[in-house]
Amino acid sequence: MDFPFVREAVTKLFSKPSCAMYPFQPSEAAPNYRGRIVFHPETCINCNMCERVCAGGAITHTSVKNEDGDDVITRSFDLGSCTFCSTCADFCTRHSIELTQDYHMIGIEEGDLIVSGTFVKKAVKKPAPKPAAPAAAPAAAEKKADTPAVAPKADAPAAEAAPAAPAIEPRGDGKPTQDPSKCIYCTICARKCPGEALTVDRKEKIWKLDEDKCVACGTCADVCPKNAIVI
Amino acid sequence: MFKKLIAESTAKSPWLFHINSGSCNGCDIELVAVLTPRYDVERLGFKLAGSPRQADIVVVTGPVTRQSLDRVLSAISQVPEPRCIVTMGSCPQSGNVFKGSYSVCAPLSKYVHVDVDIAGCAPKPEAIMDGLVKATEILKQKRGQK
Repeated sequence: MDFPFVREAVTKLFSKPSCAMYPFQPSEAAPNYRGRIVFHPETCINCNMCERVCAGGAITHTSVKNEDGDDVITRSFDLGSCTFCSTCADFCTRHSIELTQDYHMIGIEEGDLIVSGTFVKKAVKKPAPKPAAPAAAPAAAEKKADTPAVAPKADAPAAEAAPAAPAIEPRGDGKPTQDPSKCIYCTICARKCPGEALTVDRKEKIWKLDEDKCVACGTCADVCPKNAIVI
Repeated sequence: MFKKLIAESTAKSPWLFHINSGSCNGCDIELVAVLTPRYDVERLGFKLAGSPRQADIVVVTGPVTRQSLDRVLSAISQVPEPRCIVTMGSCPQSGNVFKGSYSVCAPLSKYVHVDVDIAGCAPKPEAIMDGLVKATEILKQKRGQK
């Protein structure tokens, strides 16, 4: 009599199980798995870009004024509303949002699936008016306009002098200042600005900052191809 | 004696009933993956039941669309007490990207008491197993076992 699968049955009886022994043995997620969100509040500048790009509306923030007049901002991520698409982390200019490989996200009580962080955003001090910067700006512009008319010999020293003399000083509050002699009005800074605080007109050669919208993130200076923005 | 025996064996082998309330099928595929030999959740006693009347744990996927709401609630009401309701994925917990739509009734917790939420979009099979193990513990507590 023939027993067709006896050998197979006996070997399988003593071999290791072919399934993943998960609850008894830990299992790691794949390297680029997007799991639980970790928020680093210390680097967040409250530009709210994450909230704007979030498809599921999972990101919210609350803002409370403390006694010093600074904003105490609590940003929370609802993992029960998240698609784990990583768009918020991709758009974060300060890399404050991180999607980890942790996939153990089980909520039993309310608040189990909320990730939040609190930070203090210092109130922006109004900087003292600097007469030097605006005065230098027209001067530089005049120089630039004048150079073609003046003899070409004078062109080289003038161009060299312009970056050296510049009275473009950082404002001290983290907000950008434009160097009109370097700016080519390419509008990249305006397009990259998370707060839509910059208005750049290429034809009219206007570079304007809306101070109320500016969150001092520094993205404009990072993206400027001519390094014309000083922070 | 038999009652005790039955109670002990049912506690170790809860049956699942899966309701799709307008899901995109991502979570459903992951739930099926949990039942395949790779993860084999039947090792832990779970079994997919064909009828809500035989189930102990209800797994709900999808954002609970208006069309499916009545059906979901009637299916859940047929599950005998004590039961454990598990929401799987972000959709039944909040509506996810469908939040605010006229045809979506999420979250499910507005209508029934939800015991376990499994987050993820879709959750990893391991996360689903975690959630189901938690659900059995809750079920045991509800039955008055230790």
